[in-house]
Amino acid sequence: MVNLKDSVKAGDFAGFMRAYQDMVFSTAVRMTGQDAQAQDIAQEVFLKAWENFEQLQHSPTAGGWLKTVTTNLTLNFLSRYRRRWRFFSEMRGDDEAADYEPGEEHAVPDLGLAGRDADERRALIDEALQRLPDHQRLPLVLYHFEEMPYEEIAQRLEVSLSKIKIDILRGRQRLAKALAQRGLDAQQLDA
Amino acid sequence: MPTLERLISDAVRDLPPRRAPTGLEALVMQEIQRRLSLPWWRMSFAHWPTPARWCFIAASGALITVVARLCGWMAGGAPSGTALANAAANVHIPGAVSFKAMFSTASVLAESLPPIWLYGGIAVIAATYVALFGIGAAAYRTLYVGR
Repeated sequence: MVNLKDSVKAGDFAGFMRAYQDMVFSTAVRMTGQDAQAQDIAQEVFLKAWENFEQLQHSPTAGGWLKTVTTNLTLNFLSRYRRRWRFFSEMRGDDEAADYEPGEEHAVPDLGLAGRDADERRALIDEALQRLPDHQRLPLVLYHFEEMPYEEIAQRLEVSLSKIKIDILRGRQRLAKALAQRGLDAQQLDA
Repeated sequence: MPTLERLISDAVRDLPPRRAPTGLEALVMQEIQRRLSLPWWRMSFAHWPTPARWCFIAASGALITVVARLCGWMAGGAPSGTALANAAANVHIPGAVSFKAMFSTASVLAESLPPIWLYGGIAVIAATYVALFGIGAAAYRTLYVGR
């Protein structure tokens, strides 16, 4: 039975959700690279937020709480699929990791983002991110968007530190290449 | 010259969030309404009324005790001459008789099986597991990584 208190709470919660749903969805979709999965995760996050709404409603750290829950739920979701492939992925990564030298970041391209507004940049970056393979996109997003240090990413993903570093390095290179290519295509279209 | 790391960090800094799907809010609110309309016994344990929680805990404790005693009786562990053994002797449960027969058949089979068969069976299962794992790894490297 739905009582009055619950109805009021539901009304407040709708406003709370509107304020944070873009941030939650963005975090999930950047990590998963899939809209449908990100929507499922966002739904789960807000159902947890509903259960804790009395504490979150007036909390100044509600955004941080939602971000942490989104990251954790997404990592749990992805680990279910990743666990079965981790052995093979590590086997492949070790050959590359052995060659890794810190600071190997030469040949910096022009990303083609200059002169574009924030929404255009966001669309280009999100599209390029979705094209990265999971083992590169996930650590790259955790490092650059969530500002997690290498050691924590390695620990959370249960992958060696050297593999994380090489995956992020390769991810950056692929992302930069994709962005530069898209920027070039856009310039040609504009002309 | 900026490093690629700095360049990417600058590019993603202060990026506006992506717009959530329009149906997300409706889906969440619908699920909340569904949960709110559930009777208390279909909600999670944390949402049960306190008397119901205590009753459930007491009933669970009683059930565990009964099952433990029943298991002891089926395995023949009840000491003869005790009140429990006398009571058990007078109770006839068709399922319990089947369990007893199954346990005794399994124990007779385990005792009469030559050890070489047992170790041989374990070795065959382990070898099959290793072989399938090897085939899987080789196929992955050939078909997926090689692309």
